[in-house]
Amino acid sequence: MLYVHGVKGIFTMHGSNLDDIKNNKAVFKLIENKQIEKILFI
Amino acid sequence: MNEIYDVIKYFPINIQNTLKEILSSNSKLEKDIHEIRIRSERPIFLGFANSNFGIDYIVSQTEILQILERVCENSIYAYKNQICNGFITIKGGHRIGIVGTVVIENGRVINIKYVTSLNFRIARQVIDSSNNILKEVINTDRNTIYNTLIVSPPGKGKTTILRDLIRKISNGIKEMNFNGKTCGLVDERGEIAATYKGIPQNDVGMRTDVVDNISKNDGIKMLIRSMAPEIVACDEIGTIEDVEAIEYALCSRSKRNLYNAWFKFR
Repeated sequence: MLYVHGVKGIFTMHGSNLDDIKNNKAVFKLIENKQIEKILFI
Repeated sequence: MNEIYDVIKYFPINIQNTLKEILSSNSKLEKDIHEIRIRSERPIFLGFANSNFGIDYIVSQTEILQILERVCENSIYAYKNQICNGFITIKGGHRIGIVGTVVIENGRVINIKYVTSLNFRIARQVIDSSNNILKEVINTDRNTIYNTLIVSPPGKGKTTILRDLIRKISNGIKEMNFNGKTCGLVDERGEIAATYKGIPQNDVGMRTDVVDNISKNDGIKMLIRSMAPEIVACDEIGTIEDVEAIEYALCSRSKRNLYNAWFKFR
């Protein structure tokens, strides 16, 4: 399997829980496509 | 903790004296104050994390104009673009929100005719505020980070933590054997690095390039094309345009990365 390292990212978003993320279809797409590897709730 | 006095010096002497008297009566106020709200012909309000209280001092329209002139170094015209964006960043990274009677031409704000309210937000960098989440973000096996989304309600410290995280990633983390990375930061509203005349007022790390006063969409693309960051960061994503720019970044490869591509065959 070929791995090529690209740009990584850290982003923030308003919300309290996973439902808030799911309600934002654009951002949820990043998660569905596994482009976001970790979600941290503060 | 002198941040509050960086801000108070912009006020007319009567307001300065009133605020100094209140702050000197309780040292906790100095440390905990988040914002000072000035409204035309109404009392001054001091804001804290979970509360606010009014001071018995009615600010006149003339005093608001005096404050604005001081903030703009006696040249309001030179700060016109920032005023039309609704905020000015001053030395120390403090942000002043500005609202009033807006003048619009061709769908764009070209002026604020009568300023009615000013909101002085006191900037405080909290070093090591990201310590609790470092192990989640840093991928020590590959000396990189996981693409991470930090989620929280407004006012709970996302920006403070993001700032500290970028600083640590940029400088490297000796305790984790993590080498510093070239970071690109899109500071759309000037809250993270708080650049003042080209100089970040907050420490965002020695390897961090900052582009501010620009949309996340344009800023990310500019950074990718011009600064070849290993890591990009921005605050409060949410629009389709934000996500498209992020996808562009995460899928992009700089020329250096192409030359350094590594292979693992199974």
